[in-house]
Amino acid sequence: MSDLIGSRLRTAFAVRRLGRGPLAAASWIVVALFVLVALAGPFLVSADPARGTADALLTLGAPGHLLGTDDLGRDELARMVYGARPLLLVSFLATALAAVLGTGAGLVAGYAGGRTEWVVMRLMDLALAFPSMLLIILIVSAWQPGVGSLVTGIGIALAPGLARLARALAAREAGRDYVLAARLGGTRTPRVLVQEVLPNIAGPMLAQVVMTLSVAAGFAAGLSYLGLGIQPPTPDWGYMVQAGQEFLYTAPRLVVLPAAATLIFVVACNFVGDDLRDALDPRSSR
Amino acid sequence: MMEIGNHNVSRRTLLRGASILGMGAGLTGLLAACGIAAEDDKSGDSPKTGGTLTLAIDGTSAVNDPAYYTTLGDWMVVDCVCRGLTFISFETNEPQADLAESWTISDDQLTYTFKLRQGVTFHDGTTFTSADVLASLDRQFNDKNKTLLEGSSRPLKAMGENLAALTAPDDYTVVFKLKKADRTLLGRLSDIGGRIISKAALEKYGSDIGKNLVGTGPFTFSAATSGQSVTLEAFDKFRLGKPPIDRLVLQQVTDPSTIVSSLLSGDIGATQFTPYSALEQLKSDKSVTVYDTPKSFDAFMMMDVRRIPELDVRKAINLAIDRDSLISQAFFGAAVKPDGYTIPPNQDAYDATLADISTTNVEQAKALIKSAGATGRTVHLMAASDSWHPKAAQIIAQNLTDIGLKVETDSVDPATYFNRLLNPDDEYHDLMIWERNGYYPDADDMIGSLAKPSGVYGDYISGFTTLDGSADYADMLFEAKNITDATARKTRYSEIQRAWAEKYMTLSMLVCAANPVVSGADVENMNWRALGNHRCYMENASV
Amino acid sequence: MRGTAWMIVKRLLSVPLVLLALSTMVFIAMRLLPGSPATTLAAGGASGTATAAEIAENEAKINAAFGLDQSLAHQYASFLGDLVHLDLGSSFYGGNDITGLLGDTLPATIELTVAAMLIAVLIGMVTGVVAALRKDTWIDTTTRAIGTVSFSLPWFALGVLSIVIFGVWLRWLPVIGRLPNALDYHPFTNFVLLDAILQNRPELIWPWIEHLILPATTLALSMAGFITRIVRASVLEVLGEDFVRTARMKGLSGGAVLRRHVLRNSSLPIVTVLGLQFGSLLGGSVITETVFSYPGVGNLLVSGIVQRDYPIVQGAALAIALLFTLVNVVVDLLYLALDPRLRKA
Repeated sequence: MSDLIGSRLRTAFAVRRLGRGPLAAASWIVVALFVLVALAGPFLVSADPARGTADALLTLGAPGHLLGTDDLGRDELARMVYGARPLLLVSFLATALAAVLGTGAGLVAGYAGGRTEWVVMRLMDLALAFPSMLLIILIVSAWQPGVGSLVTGIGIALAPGLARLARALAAREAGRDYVLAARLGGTRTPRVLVQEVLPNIAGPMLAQVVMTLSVAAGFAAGLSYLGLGIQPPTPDWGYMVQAGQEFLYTAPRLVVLPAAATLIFVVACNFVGDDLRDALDPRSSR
Repeated sequence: MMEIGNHNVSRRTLLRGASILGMGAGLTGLLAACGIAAEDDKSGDSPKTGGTLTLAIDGTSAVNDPAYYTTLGDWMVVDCVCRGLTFISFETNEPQADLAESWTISDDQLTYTFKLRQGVTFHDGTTFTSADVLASLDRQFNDKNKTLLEGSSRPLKAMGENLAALTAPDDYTVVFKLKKADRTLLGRLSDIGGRIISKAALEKYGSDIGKNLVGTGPFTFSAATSGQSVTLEAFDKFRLGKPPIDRLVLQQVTDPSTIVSSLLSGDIGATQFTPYSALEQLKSDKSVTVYDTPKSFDAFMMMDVRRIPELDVRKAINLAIDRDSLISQAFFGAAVKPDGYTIPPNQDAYDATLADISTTNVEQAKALIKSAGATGRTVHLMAASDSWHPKAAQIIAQNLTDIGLKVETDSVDPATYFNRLLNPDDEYHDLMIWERNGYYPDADDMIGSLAKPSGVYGDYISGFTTLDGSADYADMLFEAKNITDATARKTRYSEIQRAWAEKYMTLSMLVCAANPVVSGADVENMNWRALGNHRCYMENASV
Repeated sequence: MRGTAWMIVKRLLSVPLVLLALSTMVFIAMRLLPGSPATTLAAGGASGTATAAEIAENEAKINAAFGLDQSLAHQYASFLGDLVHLDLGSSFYGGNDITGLLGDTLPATIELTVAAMLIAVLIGMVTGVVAALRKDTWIDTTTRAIGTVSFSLPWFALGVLSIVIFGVWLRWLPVIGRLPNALDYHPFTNFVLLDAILQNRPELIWPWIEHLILPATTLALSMAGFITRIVRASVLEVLGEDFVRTARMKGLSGGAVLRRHVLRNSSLPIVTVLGLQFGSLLGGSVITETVFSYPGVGNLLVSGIVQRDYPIVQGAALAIALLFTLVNVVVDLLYLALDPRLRKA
């Protein structure tokens, strides 16, 4: 059995190994639920998350407000439901960007070797030489706070880690017979990379990418907490924690709810990542 | 000639009389708490002595220079280290004698002769004389002064431009000769900019004086670290006696929830930077004292007439503002409706008959918008992202949506905001939420600044200066500020305010609000009224 | 051995290059930030009666004084020129020397991050080893779950919550600063512990530790969970190796095997991870310092950004990057020391 078929089969069969054990299964369900809530938000709650009523401020138990209202009289449940969107959007997009950038750079570097490799990897070292948090803050505040800059910042900060893995994997594959065969057969380099090498490193890469998702979610929440994410009045968990901090003593739920939701999502992403890695890349686990 | 100095004698008599009536302790405490430059602060209970008082401040650049503004906290340090010729206690709004013992004003109001106090010692041991006054004030009046840092803002610059001559006939006399009369001179000399520095120290340190400030105030400069804190020590030769506390630390605490927590935990002794949202919680906690700080600053929304040219639309916007919601949701009760328009209730020219300028009438507003054909128009609203600003922006955005406008809001960090405010080409320059704090409680510092056509508010921010008839306001305001009779002055200011609001409406008053002062329960005799105006008089405070 | 020396030299040579690239990035980022220091300075302190024209004039003066009216290329060139002479410039707000400011703040940040690191390593090592030795039992599962939760904790809310719980409700610990304000401290090295010894002032030590506990623990928690994972994985790997089995068969006690063989051999990946994690510690310290008003570089950096004080931001960012890079150099060198195989290469 050639490496090519082996790897693809492995990926296909791996899916069946997912979600074994209660923790992993629960995590998959949680992540799916969060995605569902974010997508179906408007169908789940009727209140406008950005508009409040002056007659119910910071109250708990007002009729029609299951989780009470915030300091501007806005329905907390609606804000919790809608607040999932920016976090999920930013974490998924930023992870996708990091995956594309990191895999691309690593693939090229590992396959080409030599000077190209040196230049690409030094660039990646540079990004790693500065605490990621600061790097992202610099990128976002130099541009303009918002989803676009947040995704770019987090994507750039997380790409080098993925690039290192991709380079190592690609370098290993570059010497294999099937790659040599493809090259000798006259296939052009980009094609070799995309059609031959990429599928073979996809398994371990995917596992690492999903691990990155939880890191991206942590950053996304942290930065919107710092006011560098989506701007109010659009609800967003990170910012809700920041804004609710003022009411920590009087209405702690304004902090606890979004913080707990963020925590649950990040933890679930972590376990899902673990699970995927166990399934796709058995060598690296345990 | 009129004699204005020496209020102290009568106050002392009052205190003595009161203690005979058996109200001594309480009343002394009360008056001392107001921090009037009391001559006999040792009467009544002897205050607790010793200890360290820590004040939370907005920031410090470790530069404390009366000619160079960095942060509010750094200027609070100047307030503690240096004293001026006059002093505003915030108990009354009348300037009192401080380093000047008394003064006389010529009948044409153009010559002010100050008699200086003798035997006052600077922290460096030198004796206070008229030479120190000239050296210190020259830094305000003369931009070529060698001891100035590059780009010094010199808050008393305008006073210098109105000065024909400043002379010292002898060691204890200083004479101001003015070009045009200026009733506010005594008050402005009490401002941070008017604080007197030791001439010897100025010669020694040059433009580094801000890192080595030497004055005659109750506290001497000890150490400062940028971004962290400034440490001051009690000055045992302070002319009104050594302060009860040994050490005063002004510490930068920027996180609002940390301010609240450290007040509750006792790590912070007092601050005027308390987040509004925490006031209810703090009031119910026995470990801290929440003061009923005067509602002394203006919270307003400027309207750029170049962007919103129709007076009716601006009036409609003013009518749409739900001030009750602002008071309860953005200020948590630490504000009142702006019944005196731009003049807050603690000032002499406050006139509640102007309340109708700031009424709310959504139906009328809608009608005005409709008749102006502005329904559905998009207006841009911007606000800083700190303190009450973003919340006010959210409430106002809702108010304006309710009268048929489309609102786009942007709230940005304070430094960015400040720059954008001064840039008329900014995309969001239609409606701008801002505030004005007065270091010195006088109408000239409020309406006098806000309606001045050539000032930042009238020029950069609202474009008032581009409107017909705006130039007259410069003269009207000048004439009003010099009216000596307080009642006549108040009447005139009310006329100006009403006319300005009705003809132009470039400024919608939101509320008059307080900088809420909170201290630990063990902090006594602190001048909280002054602190609510970002002034720092801690000479009587004890912990 | 020549190979080793060459590797060390190569590693050290890369440091200035990295710093140069970083300072360039920070330089550009700061200039892109909206808001200019001159406007803030000129208008911030002006009296209400100042005219727009006066403020514009003062703004121009300030820009000229700081060289901000020059072209970006010119500004960059002079920035680099100063950097070569190790001159980090002075603050726009009153001219305090940046090198001096870093001298004040860097020791505080080092104290905080090292304390956090120690706490994290202690927690991480113990839980990691226990989890590995009890693999696949409920202890293992629970430890790993807690570890994952701890490094997923929203670190930004952690500081605030710990202040409320331990500072306000329980009143166990002080919540802001580095030392009590009532205490006289005349820094010499600015490392409190060192100064306490040098100046013979043991009374400084306990208050210092008290102030360090909350911020350091907050910072350490997210890292500890990560270390637990790594320690567990590498201990498991070593436990499966032949030499450990041999040692056991030779009759060595469990504790001795653990000390002599397992921990020693599993330390390599742990040290590597520590180096990389130190970066996120430094990043986290920026927020932690602001929340706890802790007088470190992070706090300085944030104040600098708020005021658009370019030299402070550049200096503080450079200091953080330098610290991080040096720690990683040390880690790489440690790696060489710990792994005989690499030395032979």
